[in-house]
Amino acid sequence: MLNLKKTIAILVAAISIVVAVYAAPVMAHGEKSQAAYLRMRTLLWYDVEVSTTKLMVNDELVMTGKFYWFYDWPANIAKPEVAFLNIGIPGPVFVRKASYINGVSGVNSTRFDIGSTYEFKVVLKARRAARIHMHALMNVKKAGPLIGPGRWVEVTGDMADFSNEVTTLTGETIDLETYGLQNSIRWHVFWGVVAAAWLLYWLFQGPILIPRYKKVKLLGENADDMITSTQRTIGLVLLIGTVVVVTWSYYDTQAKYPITIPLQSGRTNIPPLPDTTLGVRAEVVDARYRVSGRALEFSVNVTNNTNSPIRLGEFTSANIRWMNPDVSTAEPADSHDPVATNGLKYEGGIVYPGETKLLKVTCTDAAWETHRLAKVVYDPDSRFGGLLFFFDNENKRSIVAIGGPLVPVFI
Amino acid sequence: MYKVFYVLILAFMSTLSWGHGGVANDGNQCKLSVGPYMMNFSGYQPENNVSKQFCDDMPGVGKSIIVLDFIDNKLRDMTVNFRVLKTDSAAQGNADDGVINEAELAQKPFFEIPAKHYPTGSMTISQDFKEEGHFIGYVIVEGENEKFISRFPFSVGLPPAGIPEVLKIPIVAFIIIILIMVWFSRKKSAVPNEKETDD
Repeated sequence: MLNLKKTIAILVAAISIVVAVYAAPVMAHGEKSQAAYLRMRTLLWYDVEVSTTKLMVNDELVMTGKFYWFYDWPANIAKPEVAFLNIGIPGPVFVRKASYINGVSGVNSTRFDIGSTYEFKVVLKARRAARIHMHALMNVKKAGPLIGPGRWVEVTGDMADFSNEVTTLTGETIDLETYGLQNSIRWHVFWGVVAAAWLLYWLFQGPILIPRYKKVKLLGENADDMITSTQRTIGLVLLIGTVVVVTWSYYDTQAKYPITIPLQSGRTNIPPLPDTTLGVRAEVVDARYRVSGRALEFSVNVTNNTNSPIRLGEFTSANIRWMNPDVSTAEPADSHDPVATNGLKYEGGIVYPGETKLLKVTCTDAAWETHRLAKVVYDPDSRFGGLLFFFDNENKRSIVAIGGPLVPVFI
Repeated sequence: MYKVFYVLILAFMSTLSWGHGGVANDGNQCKLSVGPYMMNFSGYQPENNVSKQFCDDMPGVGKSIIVLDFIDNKLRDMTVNFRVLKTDSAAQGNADDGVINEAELAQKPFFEIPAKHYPTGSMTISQDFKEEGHFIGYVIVEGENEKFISRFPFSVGLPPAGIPEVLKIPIVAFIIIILIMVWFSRKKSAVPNEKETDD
């Protein structure tokens, strides 16, 4: 006869084992897995460059670029009241030596203004050999990481040669790679031994786990009688000893290192860059996503309040660039850089100073599907966002954010 | 009886469900592998089910659109030839589905998109399948010094074999709930018997 209890136990155990043992291969580090609306309507990165893509251990790499906090911020995403500029790298291949936002040190978390643009610079030092895909990254409290464009970078050399020397406020030169390591190990071992001793002690003090639970239930209100006076004394000694050691360690650290530096728990407010639109306005009239054609088509009313005629050269969204090579050219930085070199076409031509004109823009590329941006049409609000780059005769750019509802079209 | 449960566990816990030949359902994406390169495979039947996206097998006859999106950018520099042959036999559901058959390649195809470059990385194929049946698709990519061929059988207008993907989880949940209910009902019925013994 079938033992149902046993069968269910086997079923649960089998599922647990399958889930625990099976680990699907992890591809990249999630840049395509974030929801399309999140990538299109939160942080829009552009002009992101790395100073080099091949370097040796101990060499420095500088990543620079700009980011715009999209004006039509999704209602369900926390606003950037507390955010921290970072670099997304699989493992500690680099150490960060410095970071700047609009020239201000980015060591602290920062509050950013929605609808504003900032520029950044991060200085990294190569720590160990690897070939990695690294991203600019903004960690926003309660919203998570907002990922910027990625670049393939190769580090060669021996990690044993790596040093990360800095001079402290007191003039002492230390290597952060090894500084305090012995002390850290010592404390970990100390508390590990204390914890293990405490655990082992109780393992040999009568029944444990389920038998102990059963005994507690059996004794009811008298369950405390299970603990002997010796056990209470040992517990008290350990409690007092722990408090004494922790207190002493704090005083000892304070005495040895009286001067410390603020970490990222601080807050800074950094004013944004001046208006990047330079007097150009653009408002989306309607927008469609042509599913089988992998094309975003939108009509946009453009008003040129500058002194020069302008033409549309680029649309960028979710770290993908659609270029109009008649106006502006760009090539992919590497095999994974999504640049549609001939992906933007538009009707309407030049917008002259003082003129308002309707432009019909088409952005075509497989990236809509391979980068999972087309999923935006399945969102409840189906809204898109991005940046338009207009160029005048001297290649001066006016960068204007646009967005609006998006309707899917199949035929 | 245990064997039934083991079979169910193995059947439902597989996270990768493979398609036919070069086309595979990888996670939530339908992918076509051509040599070392990958494409996204999307099938649509706008007249039958506008918003639904299919992976190789087309559920009904009529106007169908297949879109191949190149995941590897290198494919944009290569020519892509797409051809479809009619066949009498269904996909076998094993590795043989992907084996290239030179005799098939020599046949006159049911329809063909001649080799050309697709710089936007998307190849769109429109075809009106007027009758149901089994077909074999071939995708041939060719670069300066390399050529790769992918073969994938598919059907049009035929019911899919096996348990539909969308029903798997509900069926598992249903079986588990039934098992738990039976277990609890047996447990409750056992209590009075014990009391009778005690008395």
